[in-house]
Order: sequence, then C-alpha cells, then structure tokens
Amino acid sequence: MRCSPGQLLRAHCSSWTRNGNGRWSAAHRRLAVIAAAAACTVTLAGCVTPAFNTSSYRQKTQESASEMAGLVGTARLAASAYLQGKLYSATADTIVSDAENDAGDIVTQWTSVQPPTAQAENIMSKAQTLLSDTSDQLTALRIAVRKGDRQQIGSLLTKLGPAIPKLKKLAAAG
Amino acid sequence: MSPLKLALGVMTAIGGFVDIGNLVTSGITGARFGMALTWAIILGTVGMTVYGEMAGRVAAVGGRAVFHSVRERLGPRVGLVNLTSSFVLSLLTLSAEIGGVALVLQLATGINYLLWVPLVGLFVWLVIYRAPFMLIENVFGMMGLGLIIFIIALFKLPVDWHGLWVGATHPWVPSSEPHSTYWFYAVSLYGACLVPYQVLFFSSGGREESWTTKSIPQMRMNAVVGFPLGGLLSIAIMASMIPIYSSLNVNVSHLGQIALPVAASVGLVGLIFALIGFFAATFAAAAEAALSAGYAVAQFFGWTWGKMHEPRAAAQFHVVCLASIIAATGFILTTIDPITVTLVSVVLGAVAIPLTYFPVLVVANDEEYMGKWVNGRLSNVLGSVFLVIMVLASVVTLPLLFITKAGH
Amino acid sequence: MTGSRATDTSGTQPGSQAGGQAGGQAGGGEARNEFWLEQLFIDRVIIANDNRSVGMVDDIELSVEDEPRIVAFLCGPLAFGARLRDRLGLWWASIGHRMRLTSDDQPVRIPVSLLAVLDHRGAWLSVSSDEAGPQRLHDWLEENVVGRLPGSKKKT
Repeated sequence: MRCSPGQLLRAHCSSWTRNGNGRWSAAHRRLAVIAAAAACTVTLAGCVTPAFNTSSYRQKTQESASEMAGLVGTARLAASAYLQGKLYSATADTIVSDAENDAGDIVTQWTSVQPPTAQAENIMSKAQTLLSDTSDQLTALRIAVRKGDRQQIGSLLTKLGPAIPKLKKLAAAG
Repeated sequence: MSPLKLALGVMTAIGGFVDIGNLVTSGITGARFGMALTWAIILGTVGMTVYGEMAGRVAAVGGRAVFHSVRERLGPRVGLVNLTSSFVLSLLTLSAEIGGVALVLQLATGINYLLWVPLVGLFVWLVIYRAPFMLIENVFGMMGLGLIIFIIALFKLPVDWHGLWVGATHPWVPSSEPHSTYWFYAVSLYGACLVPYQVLFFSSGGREESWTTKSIPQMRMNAVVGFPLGGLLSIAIMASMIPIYSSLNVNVSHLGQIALPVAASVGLVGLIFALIGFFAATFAAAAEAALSAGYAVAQFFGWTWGKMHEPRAAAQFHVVCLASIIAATGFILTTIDPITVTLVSVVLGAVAIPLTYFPVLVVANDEEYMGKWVNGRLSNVLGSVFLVIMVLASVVTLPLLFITKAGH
Repeated sequence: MTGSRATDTSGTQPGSQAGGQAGGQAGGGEARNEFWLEQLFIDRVIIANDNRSVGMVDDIELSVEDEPRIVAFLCGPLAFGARLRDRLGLWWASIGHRMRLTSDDQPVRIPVSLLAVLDHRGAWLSVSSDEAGPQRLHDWLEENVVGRLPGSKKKT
C-alpha cells in the first residue's frame, strides 16, 4: 500500500474536519476517532500478521493445512457429485472454482510469511510442496470440470484423495 | 377465513422467514459447531414470533406506522439517530440479499455473479415499482418452500439422529473453538432470525394489504405457525451440513457449499429445489429490505408511503427505494464478498434490533391506539424478556465482532 | 430547553420546541399547557382527503389576539430543523430554506381551517393534498424523477 491509513486520515482531516478557526470541534473529533477506528479495522483485517517465532509459524502452517484440507474435501465432493450426475456443470464449476480461489489465497498468504528461524524454514520446506501442489491440482480440477472432461476429473479425484490425510497430518503435527 | 387461505398464508410465512442471513449462518455453524448452536435459532425464532405478532396486530388495528411512533416516542433527535441506523442496516441487508441472489444465479448458470448484480438490482426495483404487493409475499413465499428439500435431504443423508439430538441438547462450546467464536456465531444465528427491518416490514406490509382487525387470526397463524416452521427450515439446513462437512473440518464460506449436501444426497432435482428456494428467499428479502428502507424514511418525515398509492403520489418514497437499491448494488459491485456482507449485516443487525423492536412493544401496549387489541400479559412478559435479551445481545455483539475478527 | 420561543413572525409565535422531552420540563401552568398541546398534536401525521400524507406536525402556530388559538400546523424541514437544535438543526433548516419558493423563513403551514378530523392516528384534512399547498420536494421529485418513469400513474 503506497499511502498509509494515517496519511489518508490526515489528508481527509485537513479537508473536512476542521472548522474555520483551524480548531477541532467535539463533533469533528468524534468523527475523526470513528474514521481512525474504521481505518484501523480495515487495515488490520486485510493484513497477515508476521510470525515472530517457530511456534507461531508452525501454527500458521497448521491452520493453512487444515483449511486446505477442507477445500479439497469440498472440491472432491462437488466433482464426484458432478460425475454421478447430481450437479450441473455450472454449479460444480462454481463450487470448485471457489475452492480453487480460496486455496490460491491460502498459499499466497502462507508463503508471504517470512520463516523466522531455521526450524521454521524446515517446516516451510516440508509443507510448501504439499500446499502448492494441492492448490495446483485444484486448478487442474477446475479446468477439467469446466471442460466436462470426465476421465480427467476421475484421475484428479484419485490424485487428490491422499492429499486430505496428508494435509490433516500436517495440520495436526506442523 | 377459509382453511385454504389460512394454509396459503402460513406457507408463505414459512418461505418468507428464511433469507440469505439464515442460509449463510446455518450453513457455517452446522459445518463448524454441529448442532451446538440450535438454541440460538430457537431463541431468535421465538423472539421473531412474539414481535411479528405484535407488529402485525399494530398494523391490523391501523393505529400508526412504526416510524410515526418512533418519532413521537423518542423525540426528533433520538428518532433521527434511530432512523439513520435502521436505514443503514436495511441498506446493508439489501446489499447482502442482492449479492445472494446474484450468487444463486451464478450457481445456476456459471456466469460470474458480478455480471448478475446490476440485473438483480434492476429486477428488484421493477418488482417494487410495478409488481403487486401480494406477488412479493405469495409467489416468492411459495417458491421459498423449495427449501423443504433440506428436510428431505436429512432423510437421505447418513444422519446420526441420536447425535443430532445430543448435540442440540448439549449446547457446549466445542473444544476446538474459542468461546468468543461460539458466542459470535450464536449472535449471528439469532440476528439472522430477528432482522431489524422485519417488524417494520410486517407492520407496514399489513397496511399495504389493507389489513383490518378481521385479519388478526390469519396474521397470528402466520406468526405462530409459519415462523417456527421457518426456524425449523434453518435448523434443517444446519443439520444437513454435519454428515457432509464435519469430518472434513470444512469452513463453509460459499453459497454453493450450502447447496452441496442436498445435491449429494437427493441429486439434480434436489439441487433445483434448493436453488429455487435460495433464489426466492433472497429475492423476496431484497425487495422487503428495499421497501423497508423506503417505509422508514417516508414514515419518519410524514411523506406518502407505500405501494397502495400510485408511484407518482409517493414520489419521495419511491426515490428512497430506488436510491437504496442503487447504493446497495454499487456496494456489492465493489467486489466485496457477499457472504462477508451477510455475516456483518446480521451481526450489526443484532446490535440495532432494540431500536426498531422497542417502539413496537410501546405502541402495542398503548390502549389509546390499540383498543381491545392491546398487548395481553403473555405478549408483555415475552416481549419484555426478549427486550432484555435483545439489549444484552446488542451490548456484547460489537466486542465479539472485533475479538473474533468477524468469526475467523 | 425552553418551552416557547419568542420570534418576530407576523402576529404568530411558534408553540413548543421541545418535542417529546417537554413532559419532563413541565413546571408551571404554562408548561402544563404545552405538555397537553404536544400530546395532542406534535408528530401526528397530516393526511389529505386523497389519503396522501402532507407532512408531520412539527410545530403549531398560535394567534396572540384575545385568547391563544391554534391557527395552523407547521411542518417541513424548517419546522423540523428548529426542533433538532444545534448545528444539525441549522443545517436541516438551511436545506429547507433552499427548497422554499420564496425567500421567507416560514415553515410549511397547514391552516386549521382545512382540518376535518383530529384523532390518535393523525390530522385528517378536508381538502386534497394539492389544495393543502405546494410540497416542494414531492413536487420536484414527481416532476423530474418518478413522473418520467413509465407506469408512474398506475396503481399496482
């Protein structure tokens, strides 16, 4: 972000929250506090907090793996329901695409965390392949579902099957 | 009152009870907490029944519109604060519903929901502007009954009925979840049942349909039978998530995930019913939220309001509705996630519930307006108990929202 | 907060300004009268005989000749702004001021001679909304926005 929330707030304040004398009235101060609170919330909500030690890095990895397992589960359910003729391709496509997008977000957020220690780097090298491979396979699954390539969907389902226990193991152990 | 008409009213009340808020919160909590939060839906449904009956009675007696009373009872300044918060929340709910309709259309067609959003906004406006009031209530209410498929799905899914019952009767916080998250989602379920605009909509809608005291039995049936059955649908949606998602630790965050258990168990026909139900429930709620935004503002300022007038006569009312729809459509077009908007809207709604519900309790107690239809002891005891609960929930909700970062 | 405020409007003085809070302020006999006036009139919707709302009673106009009589109901943004007080009230009133046809500072007046029935639901007029006087916001929106949409004259 090029402009910090503080800068934004100051820019706004100078233009509309001061009265003629350059003094802040009570109402304007209240407004400024509300605006600052809103800005903080927006900023905090959008950021990944950094990891300061091995255990917090491990925890982030576990959370990412757990969420990824849920996404794979959803995508597999949708894809197999599609193969059994229980879902329209449009619906299956939407569900798998959502899972794929979420998986991409998880990988991006997780890789953006700097491993703080050598141990954490160790965790990273173990988890990275699994997380990014799973994400790639979800992309492949989305492509296959959109094309309606049943054979490809079948083979991807078999491939994705073992990913869930692996991710769950990672989520439990880190 | 013919039994057929009574049944029709109850059915539309069932379909009309559920909206995007119920769908999303039931879906999320079922996958994450099992049945542990069933009590929150029951609490919200009973509250809605008590206050819905009161609002309907106020409308039938024809005393006054809710926001006429708000202004008289609270004075111009506090009344204006009340109006502003109710209006903003109606806008937020409207945004969530418009986003919800667009997401349903994406599930049905595969076309990105953002392309649907402007069309949905236009359609909502056309319905408000041209369609008869009864159409919104009856047609969409009946289509909303498609959601009964979730109850059917429960019988086809590998459901552990004993487990469901144990979960519902032992509402403890799961060990995997912090207490704050549990209470956050409890508030979200309760807030999804008691939406702030709803009493406003019922009381004004009764006037639109020119209710009289003769309509009170029908209205009572709708509230006392229809709403609890609507709450039952919410519980069925919650329960149907469990056999599919709980073993996988899935975080439900998309509408498609909520339809998936039905498709997986009943098949394509089930999916079609679920999507029709989703569409009707969200679309009707969108129209109701937009109308409520118009009702609130127009009543507060003493403008001609409602669809019973030709649009020209109620010019300000229609402009407020139109502007609300444009604002909500624009908000969803910023690509903000409609599911997040839904969650935030039901939770902030829980904060604002006392604002619109309290005046209804006051008016329903006023013998001058209500005559022999004034609140009885049962209504007052229940109404007061719920008012306390509403205020408590309203106080704890914002801290919960921040502590849990909206449920993460 | 005072009950009544002396103004230099021609031969009239606005009644109470206090809205719903006046009850707590009731001290002497005068304040008691205001309390009653408000209970009866303030925040009651004004409805014309074509069932359209004309406004909400924000204030009343009293004659000062002989015994005080209610001459008119006052409504619209100018009257409402005065009740809001503070900067918000000024701002509100200034919007109303801009919407006025003339440059005077009078709120919208509904003379009591137009009144047919006054009950707990509202003040019912014996004339149509057009005869009750121009409503700037409504008329402008009707002419420029809603009136231009197809089907705006048909009931649904």
